[in-house]
Amino acid sequence: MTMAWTCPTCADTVSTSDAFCEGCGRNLPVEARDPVPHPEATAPDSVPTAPQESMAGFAPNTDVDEVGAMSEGPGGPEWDEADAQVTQPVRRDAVIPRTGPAPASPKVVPEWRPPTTGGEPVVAADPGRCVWCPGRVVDGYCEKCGFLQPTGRDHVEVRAGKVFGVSDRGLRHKRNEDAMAIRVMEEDAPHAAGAVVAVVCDGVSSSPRSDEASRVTAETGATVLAERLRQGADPREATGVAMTQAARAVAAIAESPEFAPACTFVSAVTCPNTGTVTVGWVGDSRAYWLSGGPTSSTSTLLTRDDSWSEAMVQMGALTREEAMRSANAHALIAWMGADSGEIDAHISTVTPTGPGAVVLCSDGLWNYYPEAEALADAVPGTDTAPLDAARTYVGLALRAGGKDNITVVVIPVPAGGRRAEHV
Amino acid sequence: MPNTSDRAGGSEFRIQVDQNPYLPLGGTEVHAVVSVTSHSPVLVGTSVRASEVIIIDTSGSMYGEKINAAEQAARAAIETLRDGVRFAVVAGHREAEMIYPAADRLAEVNDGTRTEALEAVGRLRADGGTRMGSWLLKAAELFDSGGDGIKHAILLTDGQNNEMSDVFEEVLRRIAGRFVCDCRGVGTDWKVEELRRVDAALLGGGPGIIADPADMTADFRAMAQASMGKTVADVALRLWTPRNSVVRFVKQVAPTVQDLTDRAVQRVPQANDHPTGSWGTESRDYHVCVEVPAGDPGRQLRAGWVRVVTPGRTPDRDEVLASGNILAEWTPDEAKATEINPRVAHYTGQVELARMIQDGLTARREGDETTATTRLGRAVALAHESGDEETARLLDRVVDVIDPATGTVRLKPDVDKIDEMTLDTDSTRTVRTRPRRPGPGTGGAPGPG
Repeated sequence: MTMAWTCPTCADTVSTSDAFCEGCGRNLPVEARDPVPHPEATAPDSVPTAPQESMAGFAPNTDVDEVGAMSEGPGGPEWDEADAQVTQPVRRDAVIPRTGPAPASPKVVPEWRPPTTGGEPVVAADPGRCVWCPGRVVDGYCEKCGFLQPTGRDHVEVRAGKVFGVSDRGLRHKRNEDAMAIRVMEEDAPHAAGAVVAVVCDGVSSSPRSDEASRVTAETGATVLAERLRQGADPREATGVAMTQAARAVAAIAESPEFAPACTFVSAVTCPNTGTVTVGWVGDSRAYWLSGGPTSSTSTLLTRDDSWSEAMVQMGALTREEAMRSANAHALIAWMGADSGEIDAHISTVTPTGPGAVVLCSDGLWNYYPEAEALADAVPGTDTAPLDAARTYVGLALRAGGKDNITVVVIPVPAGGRRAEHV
Repeated sequence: MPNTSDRAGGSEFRIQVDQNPYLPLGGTEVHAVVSVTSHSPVLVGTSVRASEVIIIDTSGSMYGEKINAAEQAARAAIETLRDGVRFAVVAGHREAEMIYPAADRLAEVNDGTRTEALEAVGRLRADGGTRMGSWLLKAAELFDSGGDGIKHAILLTDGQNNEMSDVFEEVLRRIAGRFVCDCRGVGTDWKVEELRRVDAALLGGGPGIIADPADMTADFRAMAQASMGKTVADVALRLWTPRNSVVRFVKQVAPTVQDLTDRAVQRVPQANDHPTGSWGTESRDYHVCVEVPAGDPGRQLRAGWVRVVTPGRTPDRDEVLASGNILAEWTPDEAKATEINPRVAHYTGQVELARMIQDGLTARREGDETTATTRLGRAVALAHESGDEETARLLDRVVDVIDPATGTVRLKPDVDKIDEMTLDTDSTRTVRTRPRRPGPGTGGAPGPG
């Protein structure tokens, strides 16, 4: 309800809820309306018609103690009180309470890490679901995280036990022609209990269907290696058989020697019982040992590339820097495919003295971190957080330019396995 | 097909997104200009339900030439209403007084009611105060009694509101979005800021100044005509964003600047519906900024999914009229990532221009000449840069321009109040840029139909 008063200046009739006098234009004192308790303020009827909560900006607070005073409300005191302030400047819009959320307050983007995988091969089991989160896929994007969904092998993440592999198309190539395969032996298997088998293959891009070549080779290699270990074969022997069979398998998909799909091969077998790491390779995909602590063997490259540049260095014809600067640096001198002739399978075994990780990778990663030390320093904790490490390596390679397909498999090797004596 | 449940009333909406989707590594801020265009059927018939309330300030200050002009203008508006539209004329003084019809309800336009209303308008008398909040509340009540459809009000005033600002704000908060209101101020005694607040709450087309009462009739007719051309009410811009992202802002940037960021409701998960009022055949542009977590190089993200919707009874009955994607892709290619989309740049400038004018004029009123000179100088430079000749012309009446390119200006000692207010009022009107021609790879997704 509105009470009528008289303007102190021109004696026109004004309302207590008026902001100014319509007659003379004089601003009516707003300070007089402050809800500050006042001995003379006893006119609850003159409370403006707005609901109480809108006065929040004006009210000092609403403590229980103040309720009594508040009930007197922001009422208009007698004009005598207002007149006492006439000589002072009075402002009409002293405080405008804001409605709605506060503006432009520094909003902070919540802490966020890359979308996590459920742990299974990320090649969508259910094409209607996001590969990184539980969201549904709408128009090719996840309805929750918003990421464009990978198609086929653009970005693949594989987990088997504590072993993780990440493979990515990179930024320059149209297809991902890398492939990987991982097998883990049961803890109670009669032979090679708890052993890990991993294979990485890099399709030779100048050959046809190199994506198929790498997939067939990696799958065959890992399957045969695991089979042989289960049958009780020694890791070196199993690796040799697996490489031979993998090479046959990729040769078999060729239409002709002139039209032969081809790829590289690198495998690793880690045996917790013996503490050994056995690697086998053809081509320029690599295996590294990354040290997990000062008491463990130092980080080192376990393979030697079958590449033109490596051959030049071995012959002493060029320094490593000169060789790598050459246009031929990445030219392969050995590979797996129908046109490769007899393959010269390299096999090597080491027994680390402490914890660490074996990293298998294609040149999409090692081009940016050729030295074992640099690779180890780039991502600490490869042995304790293998998935993060694999993802981070791929991320680093993409940041560095992502010029090639990138594949990284990280196999953590725990300390204190039942070691055989050094061989 | 008449009388279908098609809430779009046969209108076709299109969304086009202009942006540079490439972000540098570690980049998180995605900007896009979203253009929404609607095409209504040529003839808007009686199948479109509409209500119109005309509110004329009849406070004492309107006496004389202004009240006569207002009467004529109201008549022109009434004559423009098509048959079947529900309408009312309200006189605003200390309270809201029904001029036509006499009872607190809307009347339906026909030859009889039109004649009666034209007569009733002749009885407007200037007397009493200015209480816009109570006028607008009355309009809201009238619209509530009239059912759904297009709800449009015209508010004319010549003075500043005589309600405590908190009371006024509370009214605006309560009625926000319940109808669309176009505001006009006549003369120079009203406050631009007040009408701008009404305009923002009620999604008007920007407040307007009527410098000469003689221009009022044409202006009212135009507003009523525009309102009669509206076919779809309660259109909302729905912005979906990915998890862990923050919507920095959603601003209408053409035809006027209107910040819609905080004006949103959530009807479906992860999406905000920003009300945009009613639409006829028209185009509006929105500048959207979303902050997303940085992604790996080569990763592609839908940083925003923009849809035009009309609400149904329940969210699953909402009608989606058009949709488009705001994308993000991280790249190590600096050149690609640092390129700014020309339309984003243009509207960023236009919004800054409006802000500089308003800040400059406020500083000038408060006697802070240094701030006023810097702000208005920057405004001159921005207007010059964007080729905004209309604003440059208005700025010319407030400052002496020494160098438009650098924004070097001197404040004019004597400025006509009408010039200052025109500049202030028009500051939020922007110059529109044309969207680039649609081609492959646009963010626009086809709408239904």
